Amino acid sequence: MSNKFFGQYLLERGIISKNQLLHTIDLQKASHLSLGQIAINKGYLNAEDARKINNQQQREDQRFGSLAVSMGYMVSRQVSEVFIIQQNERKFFGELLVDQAILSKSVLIKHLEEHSEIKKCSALQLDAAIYAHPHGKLIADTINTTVRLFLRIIKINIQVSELAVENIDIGAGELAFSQCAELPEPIKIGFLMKTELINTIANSFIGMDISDNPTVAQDAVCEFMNIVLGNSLAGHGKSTLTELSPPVISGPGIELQASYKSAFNIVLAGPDQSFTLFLYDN
Amino acid sequence: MSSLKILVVDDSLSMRLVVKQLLINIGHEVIGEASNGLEALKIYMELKPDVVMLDLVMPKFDGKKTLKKLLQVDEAAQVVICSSLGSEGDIEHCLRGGAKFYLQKPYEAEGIRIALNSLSETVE
Repeated sequence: MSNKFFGQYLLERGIISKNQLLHTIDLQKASHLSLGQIAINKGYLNAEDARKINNQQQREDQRFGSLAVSMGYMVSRQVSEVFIIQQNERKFFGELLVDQAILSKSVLIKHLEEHSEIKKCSALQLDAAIYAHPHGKLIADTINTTVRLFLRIIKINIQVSELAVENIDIGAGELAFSQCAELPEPIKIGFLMKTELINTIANSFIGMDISDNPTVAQDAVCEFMNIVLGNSLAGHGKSTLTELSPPVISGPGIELQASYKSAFNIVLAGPDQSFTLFLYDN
Repeated sequence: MSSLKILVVDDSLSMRLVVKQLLINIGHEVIGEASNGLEALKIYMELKPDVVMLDLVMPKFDGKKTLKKLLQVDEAAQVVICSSLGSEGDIEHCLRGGAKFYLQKPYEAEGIRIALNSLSETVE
């Protein structure tokens, strides 16, 4: 998901207050029981079994239900049952606003429609290669957000043009703008572009011609990229804090990949300019 | 709403230019600018602004640390977070940590107006 959390969307429009937002998050958390807790409530597990499964989850990248079955504590039918109970009991943010009489159903529906309409605008048909990548969701979200914010802020309609070769160097007249996100392992994400596009982005972002001031122009592209990545990461690690480093600019002759092991580069193109969106990970 | 004296904290010079213009357009006064948290704390103590517009992703001393520190030196500090970050965790962390409002970049003048109008709300 590359769009704003629904609560933030409502807060920024003055539809709910800060206190209503925080209280509703509390209610939502309280309505969301873990699979382990539901299994305990149903008598399928005891607290000690659930703790052992949770401990095993720390060591293996597997879901609670899969581990409960493979470790012999639950059978598949029980896992399916507690999963359905979890889904049914979980309350949506909007639903809780109606329960508290903060919004009427009709007003909620109107805002949900507007919110989902914004999401639809950012929808993009993506290459199967993107989905196949271990960070496919992050790449897809970053592309969607880049396309959406280019149109909204820079007023340029861009689209995916091609997958680029793995290793790219910064050529003459090009600069790379990158940031490191901790997810939890470090991933470097950024844009590689020529001066002409840097100036185009900067002029639109600031609202005046600053082509004669490369420092401010580069700063504007850094900030634009920071906004793209901040928005892209909003749907990753819902309950955790986002770790995004300050932007970095690299010049010609530097290999972008540096200490990272694998690269994923994609070319995005507008009517007369293109640039590379890159992602490097370990 | 009367004109507020505002400190804008963002490591991006271009973003400070944009925010400053938006604030002036809606009748407020930018009395100071800072590019990191340490600078912000120093200027805050000197100028005592009505409101701090605070970015989160910054070098040296980031926005989350700055928010905490600002509220330690002045528990009545009115801080509006203005960040590209928008996870539920980040928003909740800052609002529970004492920020009065959270604006996710990119935002429009209307977002700032709503944020500043909300400052009279009772805080938890």
